[in-house]
Amino acid sequence: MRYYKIIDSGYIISVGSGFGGTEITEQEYAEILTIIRNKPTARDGYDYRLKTDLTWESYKIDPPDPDPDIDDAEALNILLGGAT
Amino acid sequence: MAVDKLIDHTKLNACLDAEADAIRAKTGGASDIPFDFANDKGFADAIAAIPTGGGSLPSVISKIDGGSFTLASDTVGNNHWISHNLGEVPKGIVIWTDDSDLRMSTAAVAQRYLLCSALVLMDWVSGAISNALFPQHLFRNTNGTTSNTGSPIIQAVVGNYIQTTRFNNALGAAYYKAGIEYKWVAYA
Repeated sequence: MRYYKIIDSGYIISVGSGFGGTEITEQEYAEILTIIRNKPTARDGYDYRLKTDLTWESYKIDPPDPDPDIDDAEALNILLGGAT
Repeated sequence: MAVDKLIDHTKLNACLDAEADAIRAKTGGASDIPFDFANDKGFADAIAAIPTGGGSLPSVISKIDGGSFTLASDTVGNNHWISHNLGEVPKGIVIWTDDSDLRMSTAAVAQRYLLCSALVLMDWVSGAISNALFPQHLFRNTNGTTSNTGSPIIQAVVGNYIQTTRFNNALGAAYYKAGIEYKWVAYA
């Protein structure tokens, strides 16, 4: 089975199996997965992101959008590349 | 070690390289495959690790691909892209998890067994992909009820990528749950 990790701007976004990303060994996959599943508990309003050196970095999260749903017309605009 | 025959090592290396290439073609990997000489096993372990096939595909499906992903953070990857290896836009996609710990990070109600599927809409006259989907999704709440409110997580398909997004429910915005293994299958 092929394993991969996805890195963006110095952070590990995800790991997985299948196509895509940067191929890693099963051992590295298991190591990162263990670290992810043991992420420290963040205080309110903060979360942790995983750096490529496999250490956690705390950061402030943006408050969630209270109503993220969009109507059909706006969705169509986004899909067609005409979103404003 | 008994040495009783002369061997053309160039020929032998070529044969072993060909075997390793054939294994990698099956697994999709690119890394070196150890040849276990000490235990008289050669590539046996690597060959044994190749999953057994599940039989031929149904006639209505020509290609199928699948995999899994686990996000490192709840709030990173609100738009997460899945790469597939079909070589064409999939006709259908399914994403699910077997993880009983699935729950919304900002919702009070724990939810389990996310399922989201989508069919890709094609213009049958022109053959063009309109990039519109018919996504459906379903959550199972811990109280035993099911819900399909909120936003589906499959958003779009572009080339060899499937765009997924954070999933939401009627309780408000939420995110992919970090540490959960999501699984997916795409077919063409």
